[in-house]
Amino acid sequence: MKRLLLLVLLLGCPTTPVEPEPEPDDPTPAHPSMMVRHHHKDVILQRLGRAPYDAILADVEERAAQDYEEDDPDVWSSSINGRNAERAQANAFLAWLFDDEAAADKARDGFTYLGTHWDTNQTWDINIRMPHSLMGYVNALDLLQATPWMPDDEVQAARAKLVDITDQFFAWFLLDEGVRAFVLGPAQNNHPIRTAAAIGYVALAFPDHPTADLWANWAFSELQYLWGPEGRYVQEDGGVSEGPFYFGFAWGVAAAIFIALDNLHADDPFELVQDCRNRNDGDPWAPISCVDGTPFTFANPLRDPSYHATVDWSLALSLPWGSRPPLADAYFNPFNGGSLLSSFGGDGRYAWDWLGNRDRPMEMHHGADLVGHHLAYFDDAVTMEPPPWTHRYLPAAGNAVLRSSWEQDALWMLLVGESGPARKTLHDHVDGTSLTLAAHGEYLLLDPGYYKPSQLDNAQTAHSPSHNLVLIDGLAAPNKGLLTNWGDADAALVGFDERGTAAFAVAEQTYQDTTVTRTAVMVDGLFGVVFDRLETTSGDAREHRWRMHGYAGYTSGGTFALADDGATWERPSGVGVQVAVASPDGLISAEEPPYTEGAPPHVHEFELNREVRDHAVLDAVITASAPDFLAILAPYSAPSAAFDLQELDVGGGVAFEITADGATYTATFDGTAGSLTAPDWTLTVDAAGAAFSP
Amino acid sequence: MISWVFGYGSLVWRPAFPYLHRRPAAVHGWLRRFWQASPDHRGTPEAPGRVVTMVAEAAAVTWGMAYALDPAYAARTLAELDHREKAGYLRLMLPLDFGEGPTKERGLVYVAGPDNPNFIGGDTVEAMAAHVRGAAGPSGPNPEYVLELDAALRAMGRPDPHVAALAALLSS
Repeated sequence: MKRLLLLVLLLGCPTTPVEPEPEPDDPTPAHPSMMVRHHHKDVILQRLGRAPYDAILADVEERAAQDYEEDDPDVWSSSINGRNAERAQANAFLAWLFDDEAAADKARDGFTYLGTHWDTNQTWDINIRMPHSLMGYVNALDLLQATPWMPDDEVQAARAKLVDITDQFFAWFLLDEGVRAFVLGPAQNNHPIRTAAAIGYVALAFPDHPTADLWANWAFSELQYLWGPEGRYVQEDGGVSEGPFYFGFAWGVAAAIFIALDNLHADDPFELVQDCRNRNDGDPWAPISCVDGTPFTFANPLRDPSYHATVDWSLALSLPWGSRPPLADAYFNPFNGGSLLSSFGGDGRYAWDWLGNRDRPMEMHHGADLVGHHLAYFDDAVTMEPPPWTHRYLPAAGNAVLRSSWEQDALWMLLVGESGPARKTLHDHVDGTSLTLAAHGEYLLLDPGYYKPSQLDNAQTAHSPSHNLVLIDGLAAPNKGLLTNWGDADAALVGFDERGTAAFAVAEQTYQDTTVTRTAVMVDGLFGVVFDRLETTSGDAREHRWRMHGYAGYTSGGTFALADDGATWERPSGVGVQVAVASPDGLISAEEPPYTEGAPPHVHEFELNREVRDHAVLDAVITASAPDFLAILAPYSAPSAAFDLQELDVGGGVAFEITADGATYTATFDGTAGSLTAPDWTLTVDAAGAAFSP
Repeated sequence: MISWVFGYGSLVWRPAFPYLHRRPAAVHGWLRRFWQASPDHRGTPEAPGRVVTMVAEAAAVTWGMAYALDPAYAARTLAELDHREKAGYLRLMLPLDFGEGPTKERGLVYVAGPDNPNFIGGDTVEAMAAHVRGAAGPSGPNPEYVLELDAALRAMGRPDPHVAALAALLSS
């Protein structure tokens, strides 16, 4: 099904009335002031009665109807308190929106479940779990204060609990040098962002609390740093170092606090002083320029193009059906929150993405509870249509996406070549030059995603044999070590061009004394071609394995068949991919590496349900000094004569003739130069690079 | 304030990471047991050894050693600990008792719960001794682990009957 059709179905009526946003009352009531302001009440009430707002409201009501859970009196639980906070917030939201006293009573009751024995928690990384509790309860209190049913003594009691917990939280993770160094320091990523968002949120809500300035100075110093260029968390083209899955944990809570800041300080500068206590100047982070105590004005990123660019990066990566691909430590996941930018200058493509996700449309929970926010800030008056670009070349991020269209059955290819801060992240995989492919609505040539049977080890699928690479004596780049032992695995994207539904990208990496230059080509939206040029300083003949992982075989279902020159994987749906490989340096042997159930290289974990499965793996094996490879990646929706792939017998090289969609294509490679001839264009590949002509 | 790592197994007698100083300490509500297989340190994947973990038991007290960590070596220390405790252990932060009851100080503790794949549970002390006697791994013979732990606990004046019983059989 096409994403546009899904969008229409979700919206019900494609002609949506545009509402002028009501003028705020004068004077604006003090509450609510965090997730919404007073004037949003009319905005939301006008939206109700049509899709998708009714579905969003139903989500709030479902959460509000849940019973509170008793926390363990001996061990403070972030899970229980987080869920209770979201229930209290949902009830307070309904109480405020509909003047519902019963909902207010239930929201007030939620605070009786919140204990302050926070120091009894036993969770090493409870800091990343605190936004649910603190943001949820702060919002609940703020919303209740906008109703007539929250007595002042209860306000004071609730506030006392929240600042007590935050004081303990700040003391443990920020004032304790050891904990800070061990937990926050090595991870300049979603961990400090979530910590800062939670603490900063409480600081915004209770600015007259004696330590609120301390909290705010640290939290907003940290947020400014990590969302800015010095933090090196976000690359200059919008790519985020820890990959699309963990990025979601950072972006959602950041959106919540930036929206609150916008509600509180839209018209006045937010003045703070720098608190640099959590800076890390180790590789890959920049030298520390932060000076403690320096006054600064926090510039809210909410409308900043660089902040929106991170969502564009995530959207650019998305599989044709909307979910983000497994890249680094990740599994299929939708993105939560991008559509909120429709109220902050963001393009309608974010809302299109949010509504059209095939796996989980209208995601509002990943990383942060943003359900109520969607009623207030998702503006269906924006033009919801796909991005104006298809292919996306993001060399700073180390991601090149080749995409035939924004239809769900499009051909999609992702080539990876990360280096420096884009690669040196806790969740990284050794996957430079790896290429994955989806087509006809199926993920076909895969990245194995996140398989980590031991919590304290790197994912077993992090190493090079689990990726689609050329392995030399069994390895590509060296394995990554634990934590900040990044290993020597820098790769780079070094070339790109596009011509309609044809495009290529070039990635390069040096390992095992060999430089591998991979040119991946999308051919008229029909199939892929890969040229791998190898140059080595080693004169020895070594075993080279051109490795490809496909999503079929073993416990993945479907079928897998080896051929003399490659293999075919076919999904249970009948969609499949045929891969043919040849080398101008000699005959290759197509084989499968030894199989052990539940172990690399066959294991993967990337589905939404986190099931661990095995898949079949192709190795095109040749022993030579630096063999080159030419490969054809031919996806199909059903085996038919519409696609024909033949290896040609040519002197001094290898060649394939491909007939697809009524046209004939020829790919050749003689080890010095390669070419790809299409009806309307020719691509040449040689030591100088790759280029289309005419 | 100081950050602590609490050891109740090999960390008691062989920390092998930088620390500022150390103190005997206990955690309440946890019981030390030789119920965890070791495929990577005191055994092999084919013939795993037997090492300690802790299981929750309300009235229990387990003594070990608390190490005050040096923040200058934070990432390195954490990586070394994670590597050492990687076969199924989870990180917890537990209140420490330095001899006068539980305090506000908490220590990082690695605990391997019953849901981890290397959790093998209890057996008779004779069967456990036979198991340990036949095992060895990259960190050395499995009996050495038991005997060193027993000696360290005795040296700090906090012998553990469970450890002592196993050590006695291995020494005999």
